[in-house]
Amino acid sequence: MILLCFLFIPFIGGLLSLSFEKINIKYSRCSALFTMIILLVLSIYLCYLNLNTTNIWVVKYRTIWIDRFGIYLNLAVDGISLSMVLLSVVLGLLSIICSFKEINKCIGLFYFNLLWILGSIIGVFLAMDLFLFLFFWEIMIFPMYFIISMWGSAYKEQIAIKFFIYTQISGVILLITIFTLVVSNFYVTGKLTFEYQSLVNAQIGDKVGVLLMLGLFISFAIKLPIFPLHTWLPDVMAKNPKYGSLDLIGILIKTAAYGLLRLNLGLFPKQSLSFAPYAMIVGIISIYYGAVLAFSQRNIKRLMAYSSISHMGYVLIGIFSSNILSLQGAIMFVISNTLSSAGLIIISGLLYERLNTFDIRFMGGLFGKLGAIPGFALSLTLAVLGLPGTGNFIGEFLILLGNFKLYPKITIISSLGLILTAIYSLNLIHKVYYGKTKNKALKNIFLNFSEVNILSIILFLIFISGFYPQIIFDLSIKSITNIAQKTMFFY
Amino acid sequence: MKKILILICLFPLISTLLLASLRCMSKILVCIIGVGSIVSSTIFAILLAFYYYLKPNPFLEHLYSWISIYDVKINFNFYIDGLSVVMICIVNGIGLLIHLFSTWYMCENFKYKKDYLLSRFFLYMNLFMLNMLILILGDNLILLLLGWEGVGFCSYLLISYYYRVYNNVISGFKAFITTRIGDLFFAIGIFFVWIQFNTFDIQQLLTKFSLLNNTNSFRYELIAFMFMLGTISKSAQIPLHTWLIDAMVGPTPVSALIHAATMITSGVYFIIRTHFLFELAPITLNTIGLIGTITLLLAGISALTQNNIKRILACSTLSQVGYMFVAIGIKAWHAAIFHVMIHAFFKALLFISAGSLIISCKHSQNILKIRSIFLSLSKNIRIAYYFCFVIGGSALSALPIITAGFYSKEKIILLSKISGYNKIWIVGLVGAFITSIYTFRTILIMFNKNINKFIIFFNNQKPLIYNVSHNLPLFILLILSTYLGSLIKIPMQKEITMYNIEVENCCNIISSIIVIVGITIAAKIFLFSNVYYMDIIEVVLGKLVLNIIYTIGGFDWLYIKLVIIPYLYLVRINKFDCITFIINNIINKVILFFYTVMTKLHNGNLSFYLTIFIVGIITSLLMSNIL
Repeated sequence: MILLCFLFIPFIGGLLSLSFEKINIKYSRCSALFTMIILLVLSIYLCYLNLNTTNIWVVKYRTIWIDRFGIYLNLAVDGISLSMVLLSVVLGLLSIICSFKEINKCIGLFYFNLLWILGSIIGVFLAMDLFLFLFFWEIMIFPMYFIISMWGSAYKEQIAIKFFIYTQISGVILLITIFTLVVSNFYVTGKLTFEYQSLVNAQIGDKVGVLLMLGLFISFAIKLPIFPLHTWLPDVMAKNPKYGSLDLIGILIKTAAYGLLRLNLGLFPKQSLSFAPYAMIVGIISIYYGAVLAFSQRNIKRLMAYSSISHMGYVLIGIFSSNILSLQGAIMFVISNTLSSAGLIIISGLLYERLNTFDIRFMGGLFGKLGAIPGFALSLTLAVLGLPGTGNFIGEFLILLGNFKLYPKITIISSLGLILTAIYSLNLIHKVYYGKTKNKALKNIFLNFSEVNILSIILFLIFISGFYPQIIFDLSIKSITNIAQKTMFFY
Repeated sequence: MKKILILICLFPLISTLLLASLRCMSKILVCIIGVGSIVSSTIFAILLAFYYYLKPNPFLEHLYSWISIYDVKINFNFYIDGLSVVMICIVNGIGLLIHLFSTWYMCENFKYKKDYLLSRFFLYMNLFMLNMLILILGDNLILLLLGWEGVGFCSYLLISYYYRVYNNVISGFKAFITTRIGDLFFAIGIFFVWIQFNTFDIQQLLTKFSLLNNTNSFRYELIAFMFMLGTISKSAQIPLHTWLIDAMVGPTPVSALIHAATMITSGVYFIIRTHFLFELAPITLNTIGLIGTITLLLAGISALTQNNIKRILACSTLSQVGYMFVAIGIKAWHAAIFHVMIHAFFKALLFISAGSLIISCKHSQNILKIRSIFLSLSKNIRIAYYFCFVIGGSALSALPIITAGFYSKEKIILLSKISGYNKIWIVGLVGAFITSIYTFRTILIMFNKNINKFIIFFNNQKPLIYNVSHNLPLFILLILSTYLGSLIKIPMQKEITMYNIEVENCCNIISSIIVIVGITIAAKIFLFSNVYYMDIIEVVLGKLVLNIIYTIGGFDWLYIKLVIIPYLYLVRINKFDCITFIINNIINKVILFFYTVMTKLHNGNLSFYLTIFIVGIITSLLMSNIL
């Protein structure tokens, strides 16, 4: 029952803040914030439950939805989905606090969209029925489309359409794959079911299996995104609302990474394993391609987008390496990389507020000017670099360590990609903060209390996950072991 | 005594957090926090040293379990043995003296370079100390990596401390990237260790190694080679040395602490910490020895042509670290760590007296300029500087009997002779000769009264105040650089070599003579005429060779041509993401083509529709018949 509440609270909260807009703007803000706080409390409670059980599935909920096609409203939460849910709730909370100052147009509608995106993301994480998974996967697109087209900057309609087309392609491929899977399972067993638990054991021919696995892979690769399906991300990032509260939630949450982990590895462990070298090569290309392009960008947010593409290469390698270490590392890396890039995006929003530009050519010499911003940016860059002591290091280290036993060459090549990461991220610091001051009309606004708090919380979480990563490991180790054992069987 | 190691690390941690979170503090408070933390840390380090002296048993201090998944168990453990006691004392002691000195230096320097935050300086310095302590105390490779990369990052921050000058920023960048390349190879080495031995613990590795037979040595070579790449980048050996010379743009106390006394030698520390691994890899050890010899020669020769005092000192650091690598190459671990210690003393002395001299001489670092300004200082101060430099310089060039440098450097040269590495012995002697020449060239040029052709008298209106935070570090380091410094015993097992008194005496006498001859030659050349020195060298060698010597092998040029320019070219051609280009130009056009075709079909012409309709029916009937 708690899962059902968890699922519906953001949707209801969105409706509430939409309707409160007519009465008072403050009410709709408060209702959005309040919704997020309830979600946070609930997810912490679920974590508590998770630590106290030995089951893989912490809580389950199952009731019939569409009887005729064997579709159930089947929700369940395990360590992996719980850590992803926790991450998205924290980010949702941060982005709502960010948006207090930023958004002034159609506030109720904005929170409605934001909470609906969040709700559908949580739905994706909780769904244990593939139809339900697809349902939430598709719902997620619409509020995002409206937000880009309503609150974006120049060329927002074009970008919104671009986003829509890309994600629709991903959705369609997912749809075809899932239906083929269900139908071919139906031919074998004579039972029509969409449920994950029964499809896990489906007997599917090798060739069909490879095709289905590829379908899932491409669909998730578009959303992740990785080379060569990445071109929507830089555009969307650059043209999203100026202050970036939306980047945090709609784009940074790696539902696709979760999908790869849960569906690709869960349903097709054997096929994934045989596909792994190719996926890793794609990952390596992503790492290098993203890093090289990030170095050449002038727009901070485009740079962040390419850096995200580059980092997703590591996640892909970690997931397809599919042993306990690298899977755990991939989850750790997704969490702390999301946090660190969230911090940098917030900072780029703050810079925009003061300089009215995202272009690094017009910045320079900001160190010692803008209060604590450069300090925060430097420490977050430290995390992006993957220096030890940050969660990113733990993630990368475990991914590469786990991968090394099977694919030493791939590991060595991909770890050397970190040099390029260092080059572009330090270059960003140099161009923006070091050197002589270029911008004369600098509004020297100091950070306010809530901004300092948000950034400090992000930094705190990054360093906690670097120095005491065991909290995240304890959360997800059970279900990761479960998934990894399945693939280990095929070695 | 159980929790003393955490206490050593705790104070720099607290002060780092304090300095990071409280931005607006008075300078005095910043100094108190920044230096006070190191003082308390040093007190505990000295306590530890006494404790270890009384009861020399290595022990482990468990803090918490850092990572534990499946079969990976990494603890946050600190480990103490003789080696780490020595290093802790060096780092804390030198660190304390330099922190104290930098309160004077930075405050004086801020009169010249305005608008830089003092708290940022002490924040970085304390963070550096913390990372260095973790690097020394860590008992597993991952913890070492934590400190290892941490010191690299702090070094980057401190080199680019004067961030408004673009050159400084680029130098810091270069230092970070170069060491980062090494760090990644270090990490790959750790992966190899994990595959081979399934542990990260150095002590467990030691026991596993002691059970090994010397088989399958290629794997150990590989591991040792990866670690070697890591250490040569951090310890600035050829070919990854180029960052160190540029790193001298940082504040002088930073050069003294990080780029001379502590961080540079952490590569040596690491190899000695895992020497059991390197012992199984003779090829890598030989490579290390070779790299050391090349570095010590090239850096020494380069120092002869430099005119910037900090760059000269940097070259001398390179060549002294080269000696340490030579010592490692001949498996003289004890001699290497002894030279690390003595080198830290006299190099810190040289650097901080150079820093003080630079401040006194209107922030000019060129030795020719310093000479012209130097005479305007008062006589007592001049004598004091002269004294400092002569003591430091003679320790650097290993003047026999009275200086500490003699006992450490001679030991390495001697051991190379005893162990039968005759070529290394000769190179070591040549290196010592060159060292004495360039050291005394610098000193004689700076302090020589005879050549006063270009003297410009400055009216030093505000004489500098030399307070205790300036004098005390200099005084202590002066004492440590003389014979008294070499009396400090290192609580480590000495390597067992057959000492032959006759050979020893003979070698000592040879190298002493060489050093003294070097000094005499330097005096002959530079005491009376220096003006044409550079010109003569240029005429003799030609401009190209001189340039190669000046840049220590011209590796910078090579890297720019081979790595940086191609990379920038790659970046430039793919600036707008070729995938976007393909999508815009090909896929969009294909879709547009279908769009135009479809609109042409849908043209409202009834007879056209009818034709299509009939053709369609006929083909489908035919198809169904066939099928």
